[in-house]
Amino acid sequence: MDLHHELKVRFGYDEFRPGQEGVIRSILQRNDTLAILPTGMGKSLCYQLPGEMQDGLVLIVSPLVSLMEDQVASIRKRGEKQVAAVNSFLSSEQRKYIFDEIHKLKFLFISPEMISRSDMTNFLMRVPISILVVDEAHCISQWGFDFRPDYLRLGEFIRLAGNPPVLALTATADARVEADIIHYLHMSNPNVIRQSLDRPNLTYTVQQLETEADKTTWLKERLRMTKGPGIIYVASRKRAEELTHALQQEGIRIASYHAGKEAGDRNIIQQQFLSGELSWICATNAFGMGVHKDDIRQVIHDQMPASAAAYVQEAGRAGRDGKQSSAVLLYVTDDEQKVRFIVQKDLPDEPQVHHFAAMRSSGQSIESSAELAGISETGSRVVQYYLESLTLEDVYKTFTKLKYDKEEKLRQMIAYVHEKTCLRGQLLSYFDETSQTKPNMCCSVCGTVNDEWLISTESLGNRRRLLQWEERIRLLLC
Amino acid sequence: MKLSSIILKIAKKMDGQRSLNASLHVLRGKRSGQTLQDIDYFSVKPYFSLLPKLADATFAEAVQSLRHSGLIKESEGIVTVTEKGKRTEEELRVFHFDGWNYRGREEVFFLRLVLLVQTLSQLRDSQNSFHPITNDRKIQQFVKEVLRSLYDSRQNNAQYLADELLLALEMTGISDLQASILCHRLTGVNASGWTWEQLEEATSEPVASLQLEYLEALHRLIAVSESEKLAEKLPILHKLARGIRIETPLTDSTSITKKLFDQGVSIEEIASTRQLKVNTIEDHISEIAANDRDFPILQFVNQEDQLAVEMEVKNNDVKRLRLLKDKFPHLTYFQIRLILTKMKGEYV
Ligand SMILES: Nc1ncnc2c1ncn2[C@@H]1O[C@H](COP(=O)(O)OP(=O)(O)O)[C@@H](O)[C@H]1O
Ligand SMILES: [Mg+2]
Ligand SMILES: [Zn+2]
Repeated sequence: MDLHHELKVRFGYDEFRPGQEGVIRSILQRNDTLAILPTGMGKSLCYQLPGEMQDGLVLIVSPLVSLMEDQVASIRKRGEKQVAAVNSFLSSEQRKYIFDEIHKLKFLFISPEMISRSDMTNFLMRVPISILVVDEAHCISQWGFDFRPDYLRLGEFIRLAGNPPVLALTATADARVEADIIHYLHMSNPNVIRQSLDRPNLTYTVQQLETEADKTTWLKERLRMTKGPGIIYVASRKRAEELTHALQQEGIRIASYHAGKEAGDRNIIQQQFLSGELSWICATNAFGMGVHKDDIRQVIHDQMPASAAAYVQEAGRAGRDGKQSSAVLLYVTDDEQKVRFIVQKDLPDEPQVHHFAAMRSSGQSIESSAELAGISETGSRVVQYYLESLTLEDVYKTFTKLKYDKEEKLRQMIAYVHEKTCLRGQLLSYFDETSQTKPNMCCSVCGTVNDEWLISTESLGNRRRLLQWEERIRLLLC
Repeated sequence: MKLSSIILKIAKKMDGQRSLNASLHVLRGKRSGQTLQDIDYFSVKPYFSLLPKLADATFAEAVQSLRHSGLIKESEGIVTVTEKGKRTEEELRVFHFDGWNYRGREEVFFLRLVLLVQTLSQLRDSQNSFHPITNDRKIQQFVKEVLRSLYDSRQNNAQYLADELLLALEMTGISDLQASILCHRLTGVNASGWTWEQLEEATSEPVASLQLEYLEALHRLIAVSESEKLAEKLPILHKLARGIRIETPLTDSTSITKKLFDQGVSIEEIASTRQLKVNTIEDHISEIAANDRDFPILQFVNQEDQLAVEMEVKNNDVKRLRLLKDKFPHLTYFQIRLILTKMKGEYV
């Protein structure tokens, strides 16, 4: 079979990216397949190409509505119209429309909580499924950084649907997560295709500073001197706003992005970043997934994320085009405590679990029980899941283990900022890899960082000027 | 435009009759019988549901500024507008909101417009593939339909839309600043929309004020666009305005109650079949009464009581429910509200 020809004709690409071809061949032979490919390497193609080549429905489980919408949009964009998404936000009328049209559909995106609803399962069981895709498959593992209990119900669905070929996709999975994915998705003799996480065109830097204020000063200087496009990741909405303001004062074209912003403004900011009207985005981790911008030159973390996996994911948004790019992590001693607090806050302690369980058995809803027990929304989903399947004693134990595990992950990040050996090698070692390459500009520990290529020659942005409304209309349309 | 000015306008209409919360409910579009009746009775429908997400703190701050400048006073929970307040209110310009008829749907209109402008701008630039400014499928489908119908008849639609916008904005009677805000929220090739903060910086007007200007401008643009008389001059905008105006004034839940009520089912029976409180059903009935000139009020209050309450209101200018209730202890709040609803149009 000439896969290259199919790739060229259907997608217009000349080459497969590393890993893609192996995954596609495996799935075309109807093998269960686990593909671990870095973010931005083109995991979606791994089901889209074989999906187009085969009869039957490609069913894709995806954890976030925004990710789904984004994928649907990009599939439509290349001309495939037989694509839809079901999630709990659809009206019953829209859902009915999809059900009536299901036999025409090629790709159906679905959220994990929808797929395990019995009416949905019963319906989908009768549809011929060519590939069952589980996107962001690490969500199934409590050891992953983004555990979603709903994913655990997928195994049951797969069994009921007659074990169609399963394609699990993720960017990061260490050995434990890999084992969990295979186990919970009932994958039999799966092909595991793992592409190195190493990104030779990224330069890693850890920048230790004295105080929080030094971070702002450092960022001001950095953004004045070096070029974008870039992302600054911060830990809170408040910091995003403050920092953005301070940097705007320096004349930098930057906007903040977080879940608290009005939807219209969020879309506008993305648009401005894509078109180059903004050079920088200062964001919480709400920004990034589904943003396709290949020429991001810098990702700077104002605060360390909770795990190396999250760091690799976020820093990896730089340099998708393969050109030299920079990943910087800022650090002050207090950060450890701050991040620990944020990380552990989502995990309820023993009295909270006890309280929650008592409220539940007295007939309170999940939401109000969680509120009364002071458990976060994510936390409550996890507790609820475990309470259904474990004794109270075992739930306590599980949470103790989880706390311990999160602490371990955080330690990796702390070790990273204090690292005395190559940062690249260190990051890779967390994923049981060793670095194969030694780029010229490797990392701040290797001492080979050279930022000359980053020096900006652009002048800083002028104040934006409002146009007369007639002028603006002509600019847009004439 | 300031939130406090809008509150002052509402307070003036309800002068000495209602609490501040009543204004807040109007602005947020609360669908209780009381609020629905108030907006009719005091003619503040244009402000209904103007700011569904208005935060308590924001409201309180605006009220505080009115109090501080001595424009309103509060006693026993009732707001009165001072002499100074009345003068200030008269000096304010006339606002042209139409909250009651759009109730948040204006955003749907605007998203359609944004996406259409973006699409035409991209097509004009021969770019057939781009990142749409909204992922809302309903909006996308709607705009796609509109585009299809446009291209059936002619090319060069970008120019046509530009002409329509220039004409329509002129006809709305909005200020240049308002037109400019609307136009800078639109997106096109190499000219993305502006965020509220960017607009704030460029105009030196606070975001909250800009958003109110925008809202009023948008209401007026929709009014022009949906007008049948102008449909020939503004064919594209007319299409975009389809289905924006709220046609059924009743809430969904109220419609169900209405169906049962029309079949002759009693309030108590409706409450028990629908497993709702009698109070809730009474709210529904008030809403139905407010929207139906021929509402059979005699089913609930006799002629005599009706006349007595009407006299009291007209002669002593009392509209406060509690005062009326004190005067007519044998009537329920529900009955008094119905009478007031019925009176609207005859009085004030
Ligand atoms: N073989 C290829 N050649 C060029 N571009 C590709 C190829 N495969 C995928 N892409 C592009 O790479 C981008 C990222 O793909 P995506 O599937 O979203 O990545 P992932 O899910 O791995 O993060 C997309 O814009 C996609 O079109
Ligand atoms: Mg992906
Ligand atoms: Zn190194």
